[in-house]
Amino acid sequence: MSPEPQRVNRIFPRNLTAQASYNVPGNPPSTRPESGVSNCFPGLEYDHRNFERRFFPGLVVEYVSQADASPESLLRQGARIVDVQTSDPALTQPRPDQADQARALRSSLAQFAQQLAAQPWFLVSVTQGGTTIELVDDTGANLDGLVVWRLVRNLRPEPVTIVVGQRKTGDDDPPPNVTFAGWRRNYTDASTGVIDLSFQPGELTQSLCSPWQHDFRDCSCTYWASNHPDIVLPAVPLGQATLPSGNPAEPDPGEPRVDWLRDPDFGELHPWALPSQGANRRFEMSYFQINRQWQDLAVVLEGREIDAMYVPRSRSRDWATPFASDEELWERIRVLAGLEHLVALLYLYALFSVVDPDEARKRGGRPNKWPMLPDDAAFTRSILIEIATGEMQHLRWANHLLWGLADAVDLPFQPAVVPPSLVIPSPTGGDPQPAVLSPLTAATLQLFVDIEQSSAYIDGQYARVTATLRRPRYPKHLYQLASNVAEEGEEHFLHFRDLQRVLKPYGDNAPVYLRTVTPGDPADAEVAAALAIYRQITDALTVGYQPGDIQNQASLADARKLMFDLQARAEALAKAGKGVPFLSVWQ
Amino acid sequence: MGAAAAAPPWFHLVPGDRPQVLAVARSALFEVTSSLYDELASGDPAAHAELAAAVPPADPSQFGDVGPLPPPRAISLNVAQACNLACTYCYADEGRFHGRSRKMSQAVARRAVDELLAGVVPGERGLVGFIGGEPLLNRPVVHATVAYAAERAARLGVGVGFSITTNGTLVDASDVTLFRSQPFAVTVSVDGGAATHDRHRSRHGGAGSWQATIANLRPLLDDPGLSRVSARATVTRDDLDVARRVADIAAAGFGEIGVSPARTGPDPSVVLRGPDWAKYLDGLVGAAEAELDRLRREGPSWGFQFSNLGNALGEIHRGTCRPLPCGSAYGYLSVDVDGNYATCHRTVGEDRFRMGAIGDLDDAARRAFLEPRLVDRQEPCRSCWARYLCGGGCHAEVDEVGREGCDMIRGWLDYCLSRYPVVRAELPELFPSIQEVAAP
Repeated sequence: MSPEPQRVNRIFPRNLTAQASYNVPGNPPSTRPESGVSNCFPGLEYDHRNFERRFFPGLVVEYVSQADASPESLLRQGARIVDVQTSDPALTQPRPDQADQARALRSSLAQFAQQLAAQPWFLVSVTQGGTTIELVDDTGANLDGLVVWRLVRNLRPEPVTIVVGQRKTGDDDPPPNVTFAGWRRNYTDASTGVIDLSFQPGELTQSLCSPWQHDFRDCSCTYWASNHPDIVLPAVPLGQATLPSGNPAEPDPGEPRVDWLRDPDFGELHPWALPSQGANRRFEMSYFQINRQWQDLAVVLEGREIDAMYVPRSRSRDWATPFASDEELWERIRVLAGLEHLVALLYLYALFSVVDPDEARKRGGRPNKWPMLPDDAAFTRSILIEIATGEMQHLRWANHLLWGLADAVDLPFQPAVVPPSLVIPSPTGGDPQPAVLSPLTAATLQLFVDIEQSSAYIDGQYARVTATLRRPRYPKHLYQLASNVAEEGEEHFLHFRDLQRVLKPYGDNAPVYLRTVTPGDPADAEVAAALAIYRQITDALTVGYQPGDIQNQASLADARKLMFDLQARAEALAKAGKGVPFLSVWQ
Repeated sequence: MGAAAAAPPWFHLVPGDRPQVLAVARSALFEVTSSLYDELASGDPAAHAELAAAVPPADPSQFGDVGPLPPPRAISLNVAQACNLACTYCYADEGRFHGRSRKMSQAVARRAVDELLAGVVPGERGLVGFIGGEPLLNRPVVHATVAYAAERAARLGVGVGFSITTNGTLVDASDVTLFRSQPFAVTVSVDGGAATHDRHRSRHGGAGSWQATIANLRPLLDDPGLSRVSARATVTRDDLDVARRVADIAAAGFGEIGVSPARTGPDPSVVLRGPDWAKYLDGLVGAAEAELDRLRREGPSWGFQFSNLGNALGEIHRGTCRPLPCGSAYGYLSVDVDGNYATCHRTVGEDRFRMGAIGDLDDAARRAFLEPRLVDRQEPCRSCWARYLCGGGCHAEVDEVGREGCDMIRGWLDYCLSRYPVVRAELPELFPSIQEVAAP
């Protein structure tokens, strides 16, 4: 079977019948934030009214509505200036074409800031494209904050002039109005989609549903804030040693998760979370407890309840030594991409060495010696496929990093998909060991745990990447992207340790959950067919990672289809005792 | 269909700055890269396969037959087979349809309306048209029928709309009141400015009709109420400057103007022929460019004025796909003064096109009329890429003079297809979204 050449997409639907019948490659528009249920008003990911808090560079505006104002504050309805921030990145690091205006605006805002404290200032009018909207109604009364918000929302991300003023409260005349010429902020970066850096952590979610609201208990990601904690890791007991990541240094391999909303009185009865929401419900706080004791709910950061000093997980990474040059960073990311590719293959090979639940049921023996085998096999396989696909995602992110870097420092971009690394680097700086595809024995699992252990292997490598990308000369979202890879590595580590706990009872020696699998002969027709598909996948990814038209994802969709095909073939081969010798392609 | 017949074209290349491909079966329009365009143009089989993979396959039998025949949703009543004008190109023989001058009785009109509304499903709308000749020569029946149909539709819980095609010379204040009171599509025959118009649209004595038409319509143009007024110009071969005609009619106050060429009529000297078609196409394109300039200048608020362009772009946008040119004999029938059905208002009085009579609609005759006229059942339509956008041309005209001007129609569609992505990008407000056009 000869791989078909992969091509970039060259066909774009234009009229309605074309759009309706065309199978668009890639993620559908409904997966984009603007299509979320949370389009407006309290919602899942964020309350996007909060964008307009910072519509004008250097100012923070609160939209005060009659609905949430007490009678004496009716006078305050409208858009109140709550802060002046001359450190706004839009002013300190302006786009080149806005540099002069930013400088002028920054100095007039600095002057204005000195007057801000005395009496409240409000938005009086906004002007854009020759049209001025005075923020009063026909009778001269101030418009409600939500109406002002709606008008501000209508502004285009183009030059805008605003007038701010105080309102007359007593006999004294307020100071004269002040006019600022600026522009409406771009809330997201046009090329990366990253939210503007002026928004502070939590600012976009601050108006979502809160724990002290009565129905918070029953809202698990169905309508209210999507960052509602659910099942979490318990706090590390005081005095126990922790890793730089904040995780316990000597953890129980099967550290149980707990229900965040658990009733403290039931803590002894049911210390760990049960598998479903319904099962946990009886052991959770009641509505009235929620109303009275919401402040006792633990703060959850990075999946773990925090009851002591919080050490950001990124600390160890940020203290790593940055690379000396762009080229070194570039090369290291390419090496990391090869490693991500390799570990995905290691995990896939191990996955296919584990019996499926049907085989497990037959192997349980009579009398049933291993009653949990079907469940444990299913769990093991689900963890392995999840982590393997996670590594594939990291491979993509590594390519994203290269994209971003290519733009930022002007290096020629080439997709980094193949070849995979053929060696596993040593965590201690010693000689790397050759990579070997192995069934999921206890020794293999220990290797996986070691690979994913933070500060070792890949995660340790990413530490230097993130430390480098933290420098101001790189776009900030690249740092975030690299951090995500490292943080997921930690989750992988915890998952593999769960697996160790689950598989421990089966022993080290030819455990019953394993198929007898040895690497297949590449000359074998079925093995060769599987390898050919694997090559097609890497070819398709190489094309798909080329920057291009936003719809140019046909080859990624192809790769996805081929992956399902490969999975089915690898599964069938493994049942016949043959593992897919992925690395033979490169050796 | 012969066994040797070539497979009909399944896609059509539209050149331009933004090269496109029309998938014929769904009227689905794709923009393609210039490299793919060139490969498709050169007949590269790999490029054809690439296109075929992206375009979902069509059901080859989608238009194989007419399927179950619906009861008519629209009828036109030939209330006056007579006319006060004697236009040189009139298909209707000064309204008499080659018979003597006659008027429809109120009884016939009522029976036709009863039969129409009986077939309308609650929640939907039937359409009653008045046609002639000049329908307002029978004003009492027009007014009485509107009142009757509105009352009857209300009692049945169905909707009803009206249309009239008039030369405007007889419109009086009572008519204006009537048109304003209902959803009334008023189509006025206006050919251009006064001189152009009066050249062919004269009274029996030879005097022009422009002044009377415009003066009578003025109150309705100024305040149309529920009605919608449009002008329809017949373009004769002696003046193919379409843009001028459209501009003159717009200056008279019409907001919606359509043109169609004179293809048949008693005076062959005004009918388009041979080389005229290319000039007529130039005229259409000139008027379309003028319209686009106007829209860029004035903004899209009032929509298209030159309805040939608006309709074509609208149908391209929706991907209209029709195996027949119009609703004739399918959802639409015409009723003559005696209560006979004709396939449409242009075939009234001809036995070949008689589809039974009120109370005895002849479905076998409808089917026998329609099936051989499906574009997939006849040449040259079957081999034409434009078949589902065009539908095969007016049955009555094809029957009388054959298919003249197919190149003009293809040229016009090519022009509109190539302009579509540009206009849609510049004036997106003119095009409804997929949600707005999707069936509820």
